[in-house]
Amino acid sequence: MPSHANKPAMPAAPFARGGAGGRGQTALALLSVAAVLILWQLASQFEVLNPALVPSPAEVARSAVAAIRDGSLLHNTAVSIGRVLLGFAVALVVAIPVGMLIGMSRIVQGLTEPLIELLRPIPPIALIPLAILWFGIGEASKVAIIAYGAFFPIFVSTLSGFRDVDPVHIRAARTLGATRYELFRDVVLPTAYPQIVTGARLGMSMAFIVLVAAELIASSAGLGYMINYARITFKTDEIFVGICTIGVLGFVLNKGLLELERRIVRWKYL
Amino acid sequence: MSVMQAQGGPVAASRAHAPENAAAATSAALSIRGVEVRYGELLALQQVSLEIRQGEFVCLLGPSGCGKTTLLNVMSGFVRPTAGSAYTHGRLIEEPGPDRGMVFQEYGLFPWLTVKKNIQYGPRLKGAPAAELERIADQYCSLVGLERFRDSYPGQLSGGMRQRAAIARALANQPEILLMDEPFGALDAMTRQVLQEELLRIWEAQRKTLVFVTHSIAEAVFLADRIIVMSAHPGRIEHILDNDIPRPRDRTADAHFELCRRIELLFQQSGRHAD
Repeated sequence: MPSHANKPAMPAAPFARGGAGGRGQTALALLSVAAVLILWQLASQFEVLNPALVPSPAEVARSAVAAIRDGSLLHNTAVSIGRVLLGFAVALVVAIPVGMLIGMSRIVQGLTEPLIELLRPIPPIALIPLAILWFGIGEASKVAIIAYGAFFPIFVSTLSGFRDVDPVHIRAARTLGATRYELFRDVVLPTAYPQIVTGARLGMSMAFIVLVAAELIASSAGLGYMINYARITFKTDEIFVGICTIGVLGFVLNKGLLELERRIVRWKYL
Repeated sequence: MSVMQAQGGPVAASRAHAPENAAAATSAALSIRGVEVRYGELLALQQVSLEIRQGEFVCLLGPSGCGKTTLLNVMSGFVRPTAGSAYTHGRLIEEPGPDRGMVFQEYGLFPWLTVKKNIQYGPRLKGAPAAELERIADQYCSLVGLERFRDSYPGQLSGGMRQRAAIARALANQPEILLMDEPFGALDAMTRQVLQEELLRIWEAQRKTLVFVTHSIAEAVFLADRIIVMSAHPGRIEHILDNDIPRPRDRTADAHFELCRRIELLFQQSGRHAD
């Protein structure tokens, strides 16, 4: 039986000595990141790692500052984000209506499920050659790959959101006088909504994962291009700058979307 | 002794076979005439006839598989009989409608709405103005004792409180009839007793026609004016018992135990137990 008292989101670690709350967690996270950076710096300095292959954090930072100064990092990041957002938008526009249609009809579901299950395991990267043939080596092929990558998480979540409507909610609304349209607006949509938002977040993560691979195709800007170009010119520090930028961007976006998700579907996170 | 006045099936059944004209049915809140429900091979309800008066508290009592929930769903309009028909206040029941409110064992509250918004849902659909919606929320939250939880979400409430909210939501829509499908079945024994008493208090204040499905003999005896004893395979009405034990009722009274015992014996005679 669920209690009505305010329950903690996660039980405290049973053997935790200090009262490590939200701030304690942040401190621990910062500590571990700092420790890794220090170890990495020491390892490079004393040449435990080959500095040509693994530049020290200090060098990466220097390179990052240089890339920020000459504007190339900002430019490449902006180009990448533009592609991610465009591909993501395309995925949203296609995945949500398709997921809704399939989720709401058992017949359509039966027809499409085998096809979807066959398509789903194909990694987006495997479709790059095809995308080049179909869309050329310009923006379209990159956006298409990102859109394809982002499509499935959004689609699958949307589908289950519309499929998992609780029949008792439908019955309750009908006995309260809801019309078919009102059932859709007041029961089906609110049920599917949190799942769609979750799908969007996962889709956005996938868009970032696919981004670099998509940008390896003859591109002249973007973080993937930057990393690949740095490989050709053997500037490992710039490779690291590119990788870290993607990591930080992905982290920030995921955190932001998670926060957004918590806000707009508050009742799910009580 | 009031219990002795309880009628057996044949007497009640003859009364239940009302003439097939609508004028006679207008007096009854619910009129079930020769209803049969088949699910393929399975005969869920066989030749059920029953009249329920306005303001009456009726319990449908029986073991699982006796069709009591099916009968309730015929009344709500979720199940169309394969033969016979059901009327409410003289109108043929064809689909669910806001005149027949319903309370489910699984509560059926919308988890994305607060208690207040859940309660306001039906009136809001009808286009009630904002001030009226506020008044309704106030009135029905206090009716079920949830004033302090009006802004809570169902996920934050205990089972008993959820069912209070669900009852408030159904009543706030001003139905003529309240249909309850084992509403307290998922609650612990103590909460269950408290809610039974609350339900009686509300029913006595509002005098809605109330049809209550249960498999608990004691619950039916404590609550109902009339107990429809059903049996399974195929689902049918076995007996209709008038329960004249005076209200307010006492669970520890001899009359209460006597009627419980009588019904228990009925189930034993028909070879089936109601839990």
